Amino acid sequence: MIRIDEKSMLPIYEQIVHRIKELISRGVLQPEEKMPSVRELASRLLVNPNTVAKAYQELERQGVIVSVRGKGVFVAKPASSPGMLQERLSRLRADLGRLMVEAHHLGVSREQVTAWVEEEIGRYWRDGNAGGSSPSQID
Amino acid sequence: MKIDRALWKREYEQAKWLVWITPLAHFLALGGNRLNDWYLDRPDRIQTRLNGIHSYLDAYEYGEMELMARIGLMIVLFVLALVQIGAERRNGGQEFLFSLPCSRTRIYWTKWLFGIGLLTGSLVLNTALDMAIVLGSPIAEHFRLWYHLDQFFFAWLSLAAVYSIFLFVGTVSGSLASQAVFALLAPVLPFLIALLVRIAVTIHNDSVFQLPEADFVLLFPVRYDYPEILAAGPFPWVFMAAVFAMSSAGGMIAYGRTRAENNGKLVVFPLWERILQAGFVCCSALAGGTFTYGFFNASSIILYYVGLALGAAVSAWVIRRLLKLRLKI
Amino acid sequence: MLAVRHLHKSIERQPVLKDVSFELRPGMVAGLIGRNGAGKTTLLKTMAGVYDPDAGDVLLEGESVHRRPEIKREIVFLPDNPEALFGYTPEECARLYALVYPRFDRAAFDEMIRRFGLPANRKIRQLSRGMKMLASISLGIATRASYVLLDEPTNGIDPIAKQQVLTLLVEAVSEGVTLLIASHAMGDLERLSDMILMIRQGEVEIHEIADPSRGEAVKLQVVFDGEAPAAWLASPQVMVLEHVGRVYTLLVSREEGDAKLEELRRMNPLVLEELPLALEDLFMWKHGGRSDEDR
Repeated sequence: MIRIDEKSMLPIYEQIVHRIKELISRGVLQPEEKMPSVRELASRLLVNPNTVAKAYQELERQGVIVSVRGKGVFVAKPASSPGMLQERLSRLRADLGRLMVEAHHLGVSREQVTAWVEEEIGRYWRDGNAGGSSPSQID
Repeated sequence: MKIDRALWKREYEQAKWLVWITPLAHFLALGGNRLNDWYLDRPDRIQTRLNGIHSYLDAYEYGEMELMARIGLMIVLFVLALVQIGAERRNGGQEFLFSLPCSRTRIYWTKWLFGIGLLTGSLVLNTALDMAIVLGSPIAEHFRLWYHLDQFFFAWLSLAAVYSIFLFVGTVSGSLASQAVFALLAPVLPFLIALLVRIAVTIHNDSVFQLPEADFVLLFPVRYDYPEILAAGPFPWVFMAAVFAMSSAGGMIAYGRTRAENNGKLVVFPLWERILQAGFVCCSALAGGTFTYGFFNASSIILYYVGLALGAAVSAWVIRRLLKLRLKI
Repeated sequence: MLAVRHLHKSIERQPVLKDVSFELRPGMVAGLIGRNGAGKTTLLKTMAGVYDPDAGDVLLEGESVHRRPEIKREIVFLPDNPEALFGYTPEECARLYALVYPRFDRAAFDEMIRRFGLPANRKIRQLSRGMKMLASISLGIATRASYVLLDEPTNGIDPIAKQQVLTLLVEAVSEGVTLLIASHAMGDLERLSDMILMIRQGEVEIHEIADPSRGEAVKLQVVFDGEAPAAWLASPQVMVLEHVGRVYTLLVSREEGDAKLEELRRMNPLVLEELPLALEDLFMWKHGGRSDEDR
């Protein structure tokens, strides 16, 4: 489910954060589903538990997961994602801009870029709108 | 304390076979022998023997069986010390013990106590058995309680002293092999040195020296000329007690300070390397001189010094090479 | 906290440990790396009380391990070859350890044995190498000691046993145990460790895992435009890790600033990409690496 890429520039905890968010996006991890404990995940990945703990802390800070005392860690309900959202959306918009600049600089055609975007949409947005936050909040 | 139980368990498990063989072998040498002579043999031979008895000394065969028993026990204790210290240096046992949460002196005393305990146990058991056998035999009328006790205490003290020497040698030696060699040499060494020195002096002075008490010092559990020894007074006992105390204490200190990183070398302490070097060279020099002096018919003192120098040179080279060795055994 | 303070140790008059100092906090994983014979085992053995230091201290909560060996209840040393246990079965070992370590958890040990399929009544000498290590480590962890010192725990064992060993270790860390692992398995150490101790010529350097090179070096993948600059490549601040076709994998030192990097940028290489600096790269760099034809 989660594999650490040793060749990546990202530190391990960031990879974990990113991957979990990806799994949630893809629907592999459902809202309110129970996550493996820090200890379980550390054992599975053979990674220092402190690193996993750091990843979980970050995910909790971003509102992606929620820990319930005595019960464990769960994927957060989509509606309860708090204020980090605005900041993340702005960052996302800026990243998109940067990618476009790069594509343009490399001489990628308009058709090619559009095709790529369509491909990604097809992969993550099923049934038209199952994304979570409403587009009107952006920018 | 629980950890003591662990240490004892380990000592026992290491030397289990010795614990069982010892009283058995002891019995064979002493009680079994006695049994043989006075019960199991052909009646006519027994009778012949009986006829030859003029005093209790004859009945007890001048302590010969006790002597055999002591020799056997000495061998056992020699092996025990090797198992307890030398073997541990090479099989990871010492490393394991030293990483445990207890002091090294505690470990040492456990070993010491184990050996002394084995010795005491075997002696008590077998002396009692022997007494019973004698009392039930044709020579019962010659039974002397104090004879058995005398033999018992002598055996105990002399063997305890020898065992503590063996242990001490073990704490200073770096490998099983060197411990074995040094432990074998230790009892003979004083005699050898006295002999070489005496020869050197004789050659120079042309006077004859008496062999001193060194005679007793040599392998003292063995030399127990009954009943002459009774006339020797307290000296032997004091001597043995002193050796016992000093070797035990020395072993404790050496074990506590042992340099485990030098396991495999001849000797574990740099100080003892020097001592060994000096001693080896001196003895070899004296031996060399003695050899050349005696070999050539022309008894010239110059030959002696030539041999001395040669002996010193060769042995110095040899010991330097040996000290650099690190044996896996 | 387990603190090593100004430790000095010489063997055969050669200094093996020179003024070594570092601290291990609870729940931390420290990796100990160095060439064979550099002194990793000596350090571990000195910390465990098998060797006596020539100078310096090993302090557990402020008390010297050498002067008060009783406190070693909290320290367990697991050698790379657990010879001392060979004559025992796991069952017998457990009974022995239970007498030595007051907190020994027999139930946990039995559970670990069952989990790894180790036969409780066969002499350890007869087990495979991987199983020997598993038995030894299981015993060590079951003592519930707070500090476990491991000498090459994954050396020479099959991949399955290695996974099992690492899993066991990760679980122990989750329980708050501190590990000091001497190993050559840099990949594993990178994932597990919070801190790296590198021992070289008797001295120990401390590196945090987050930035192993401490900003002192950067790893780059470079493809030059045209002829590769032999002179630049041969300079002392540049180390060629790999050279395949036209692709160079380099380590460039930043100890004296970014001058070298600037020179590289001005050459306008076709490809200039930063790669994550792995522990193994750090190791090579500090030891001068293998001799390379391009130098």
